Amino acid sequence: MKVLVTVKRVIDPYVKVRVKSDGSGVETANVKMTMNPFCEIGVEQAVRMKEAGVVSEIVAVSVGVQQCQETLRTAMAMGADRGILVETGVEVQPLAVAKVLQKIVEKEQPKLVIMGKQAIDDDANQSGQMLAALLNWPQSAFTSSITVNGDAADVTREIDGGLEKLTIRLPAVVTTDLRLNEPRYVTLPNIMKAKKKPLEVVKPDALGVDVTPRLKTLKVEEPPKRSAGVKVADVKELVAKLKNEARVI
Amino acid sequence: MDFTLSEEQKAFQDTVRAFARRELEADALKRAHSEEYPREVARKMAGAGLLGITIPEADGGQGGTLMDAVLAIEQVALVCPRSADLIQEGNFGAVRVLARFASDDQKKRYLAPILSGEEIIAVAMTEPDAGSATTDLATAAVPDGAGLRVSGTKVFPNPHADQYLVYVRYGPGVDGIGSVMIRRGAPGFEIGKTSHFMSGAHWAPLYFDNVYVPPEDVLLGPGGFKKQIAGFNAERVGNAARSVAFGRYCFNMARDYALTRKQFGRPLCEFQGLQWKFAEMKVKLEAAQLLLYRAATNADRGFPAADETTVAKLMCNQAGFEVANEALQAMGGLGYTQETLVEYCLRRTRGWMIAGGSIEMMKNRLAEIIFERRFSQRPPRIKNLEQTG
Ligand SMILES: Cc1cc2nc3c(=O)[nH]c(=O)nc-3n(C[C@H](O)[C@H](O)[C@H](O)COP(=O)(O)OP(=O)(O)OC[C@H]3O[C@@H](n4cnc5c(N)ncnc54)[C@H](O)[C@@H]3O)c2cc1C
Repeated sequence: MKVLVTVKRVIDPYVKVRVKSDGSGVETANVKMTMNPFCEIGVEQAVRMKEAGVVSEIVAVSVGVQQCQETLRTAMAMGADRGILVETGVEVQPLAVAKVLQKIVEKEQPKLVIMGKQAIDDDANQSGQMLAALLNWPQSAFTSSITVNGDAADVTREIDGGLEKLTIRLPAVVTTDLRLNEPRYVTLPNIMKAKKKPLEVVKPDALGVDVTPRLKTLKVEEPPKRSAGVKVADVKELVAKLKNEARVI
Repeated sequence: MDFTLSEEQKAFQDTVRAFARRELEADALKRAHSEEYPREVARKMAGAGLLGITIPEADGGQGGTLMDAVLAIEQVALVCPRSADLIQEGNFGAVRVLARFASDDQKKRYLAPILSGEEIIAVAMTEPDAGSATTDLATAAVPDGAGLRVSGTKVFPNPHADQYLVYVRYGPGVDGIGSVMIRRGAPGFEIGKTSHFMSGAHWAPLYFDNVYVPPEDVLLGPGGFKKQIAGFNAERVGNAARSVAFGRYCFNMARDYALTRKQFGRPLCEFQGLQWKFAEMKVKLEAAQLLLYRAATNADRGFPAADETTVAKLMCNQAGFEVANEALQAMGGLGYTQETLVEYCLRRTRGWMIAGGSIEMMKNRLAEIIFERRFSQRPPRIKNLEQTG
């Protein structure tokens, strides 16, 4: 079966993020970028399923600027067979991404779409759920295990109360949680092989999708500076402070 | 001229950085101060494709370039300095000589276990009476049937290795030198008392007392020494790369410190006396790194040219040490403690000014390159005769 995996280009989690001086967003010029860690887990999952003989083809998709090609090359170095970049310079928001992916899914007809549960830049946690809704497919968000059985998949979801086990019909959308797997490190020979794998670039217009942002960012600010804490003598004092000063209990 | 890395080089750099952060960062301090040899790191690196980077895929390597190996050793050194030693051993040192000169059978028995991270190799070349004058080495290899008997003493190698590439003398002169492989535990091979280098790393003398070397363990016969001299250049590139990377490690630490540490009511970075130190450190690091990249990029099939390597090693050794030293100064008392690895890097970079061809020997070599003449370091012959006669 064919699997579609999505990969988003985000600021490297090790970079100290700085707010632009005009407050319009965060600085991305000359900032190290990388694949969203949850997407990496998604790619790893697809590759493991291919290695296990469950999956025959892995298509990686990214929506965003031209440099997302690097992110797609990384996905291909991990084991994806080809890449599709839906190239746009505008800030991509979850609904636009979901609409773009819907078109790609209609064209590619995968049996499974694996996405990160969220991207570590905006932490929106929406695209996967929106895509499933647009396609009217079953979905499993926050997934920590997947086993495909014919036309269905047994999944484990990490929910507030613990773990939820479900069987979902395929085709379906699955979003990954941290404990699904530990992604591999790409090796040099695979980086070289990825160079030769096909990478298709399309524009949202060609797919008939309008990606114009629907949400407007008014202002981005640094979080307030934390002032130094105080040491409390005992639990009694702590509880009193939480109740009377912080008013959280 | 292009001073930017290719997309593939950047991708490889990223993956090594990710590996180092996830697998090595947490224990970096502990590893540097530990008496144990970090074998587990070699296995992890093998799994991530970081050993044998320049070795062909057919021989179990990664089929990359010397520059790729330099990028890898830098990224590891910047996160866990101690672990960079494993990249050195798995990419720049004796493994290159094995990959180039070993028979298929030797590759299977010696190279393969190194590349899989199961075994560690060390070089046994220096002797009590043959340091910079390498070709004075006297460890004798005399024929015994189809094999050899090796006798002699070596100093300074890692005593925790599983296999040793031992330089031996078959006959007189430079053409009489070659090399053999000897395993730990071979009858007659004794590893002496463990001592410490200033870096904390162990070394021990190796004693070979009539050790039998079967013909299949001879790596290079008489005249082999000259053939594999290019291998020293590869080793020097690794040594140079670690020098600059350790310098940069200290620079990064000191920079962060200068941004946050306040004295006299302002951060250290606002004092011009320190600003200029940092400016000089930056210039040294970048100049050294460019020379290193030149040597590595121009390397032919993984073996760099002598002149470029010599210039790079000299510059990198000095820059690494000087930057580590200045960075330590900028961190004050904290820099001098073992709470960070700055003092460790200082001790390590000091060693590379001696190991792998000392600063002075690099300069001697450069004089020969500049004047296109050989300058023998040996006393004039007449004097020799007087002394002996
Ligand atoms: C950290 C470390 C690790 C090492 N690891 C190994 C190892 O794994 N295997 C191994 O075989 N060896 C190893 N060595 C040994 C190393 O190769 C030698 O220390 C080096 O070759 C110098 O030899 P020496 O110590 O005998 O110094 P010497 O040759 O005695 O030199 C003493 C001083 O005189 C200078 N000098 C010598 N000759 C000249 C000259 N002609 N002109 C100008 N100056 C000169 C030298 O530069 C040096 O400053 C290691 C050394 C160090 C420091």
